[in-house]
Amino acid sequence: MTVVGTGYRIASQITPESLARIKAADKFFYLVADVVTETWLAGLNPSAENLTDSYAPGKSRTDTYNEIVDRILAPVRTGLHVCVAFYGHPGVFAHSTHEAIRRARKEGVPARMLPGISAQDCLFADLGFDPSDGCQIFEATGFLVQKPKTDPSCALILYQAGAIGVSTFETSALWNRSALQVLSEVLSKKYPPKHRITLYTAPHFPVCDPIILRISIARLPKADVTIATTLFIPPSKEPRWDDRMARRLGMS
Amino acid sequence: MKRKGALTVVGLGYRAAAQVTPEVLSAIGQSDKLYHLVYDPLTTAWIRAVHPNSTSLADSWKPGASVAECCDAMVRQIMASVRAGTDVCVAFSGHPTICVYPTRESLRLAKREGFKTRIFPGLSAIDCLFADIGVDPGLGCQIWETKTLLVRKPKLNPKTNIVLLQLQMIGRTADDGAETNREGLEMLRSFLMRVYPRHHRAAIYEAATFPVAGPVIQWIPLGHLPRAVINALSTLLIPGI
Amino acid sequence: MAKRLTDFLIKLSTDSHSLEQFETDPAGTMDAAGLSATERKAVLSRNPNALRKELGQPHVSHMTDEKKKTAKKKKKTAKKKAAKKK
Repeated sequence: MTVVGTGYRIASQITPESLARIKAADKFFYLVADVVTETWLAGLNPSAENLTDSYAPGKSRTDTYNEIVDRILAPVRTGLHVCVAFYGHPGVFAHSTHEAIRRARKEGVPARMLPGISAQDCLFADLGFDPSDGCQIFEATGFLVQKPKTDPSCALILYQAGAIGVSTFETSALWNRSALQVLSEVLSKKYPPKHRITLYTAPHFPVCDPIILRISIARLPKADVTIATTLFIPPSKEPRWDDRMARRLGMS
Repeated sequence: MKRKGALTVVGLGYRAAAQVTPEVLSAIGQSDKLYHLVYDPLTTAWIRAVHPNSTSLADSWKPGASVAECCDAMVRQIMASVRAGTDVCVAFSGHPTICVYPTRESLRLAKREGFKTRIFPGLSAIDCLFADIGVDPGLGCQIWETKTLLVRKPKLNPKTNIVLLQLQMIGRTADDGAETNREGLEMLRSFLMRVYPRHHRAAIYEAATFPVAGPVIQWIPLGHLPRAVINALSTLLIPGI
Repeated sequence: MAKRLTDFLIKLSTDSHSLEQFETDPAGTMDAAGLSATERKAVLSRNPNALRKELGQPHVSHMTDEKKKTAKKKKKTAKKKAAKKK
């Protein structure tokens, strides 16, 4: 079994190694976010099957994930070479792919994940941000519920801010606007309310540019957020700088 | 009006040719001049096969020079071609804005001077690590270049996954070719020991670069870090406690 | 540089059919590619460091341009070949 990523922009971000696995599979499943990518993928392998129908409005996402894992593993158990394609990176914000690989390996089937270009990779490129300067990444719901310690002198990236606290699947563009108010309040405790943050949406279509909006934390509850939006919060404080260590490391 | 001359920055991923996306391949094909900075001879050979006019930026690594000086030399070389009216593509192993200062600076200058600029992402070491070790960053993840971590001393949250890049470059001037870096790893260990127990296990990860060889993943207790065998591709993953 | 090994590995990287062939019949595909005994050993070890050594890169670092050097070598080998033909 191989799990691959198709990248974020339609057809133009898939890697040759992933494309080869899709074409060579006996059974091919896919789960992507738009119809154009679906059409393209369905044409790559005659056994193609869309996993989207495991999602339904109001159905719990945990049920959906379990169902997807079962659907993927069924042909694996009959000895077929199975390839599963997810959009973006198949291991980023995707519970079912990691679980399917764990279970396949447990049953003695070789399983491998090939990376894909993620929304995060597009963000790093389009915002010109180097995460090696230090960055903290959280799923927005987890950030609010688990209240992890974060450092305001280091950039913060929050995913799925449009789906905070929603455990079902919805068809609207923004799943929970009222939670943005909560998120804005929580962030205001750590950052000045006027602190400028970036709302980033990676481009799906080859003719489109990324959507980059710069707003203050206070404006977040009214902002144009969808489930595809990623929040990039730059540092609000100067990072510490250990002069002695910098000299030791030859950095000053 | 845009000036003649353009700059496109792309990432190649880590497995020669096998991780190059169609948009990157076409950007390379459209350019008149290709500069590259890659880690393995296979990728170099592949680049020469797909582009008739390519030059490695690694000649800017001068023994004894600081990393900043070497990067400035790369930026000067790239910008000289762009200013001469050439359609330039710059290709790096991995992702072009992760741990690559020359791209950021060249793009900034080119934009300011009115040249057309484009950037296309590539698969990073972090992407390969997530796939090969089975880590989902959605559960919380912090990323640092190791040297920056040691100097900035941020408040680490040990409950999340932590990815440390450029392990080998701790306390290094430029790419001097030496293999391991015991002294640097010792400094890292003493910093991490403030937050983690000695026996907490971490993975030293090296992405696969060859079609026939998989990734190299060594699990070690953090206390044993200075004894680890590392190279220029080594990344450290510390899972949450 | 080890041209045959380089070409072999690039082919496996770019052509999935070749990679499949290699996985089912490693010895046969390496024979067909004309790899030397040490190159075959490095490929079968599936160890990246062994492969790098065969490719003339003893440790991982950024690759510098060897164009001028290889160009000179090519001229030399071309002359040798010409001499042999005579």
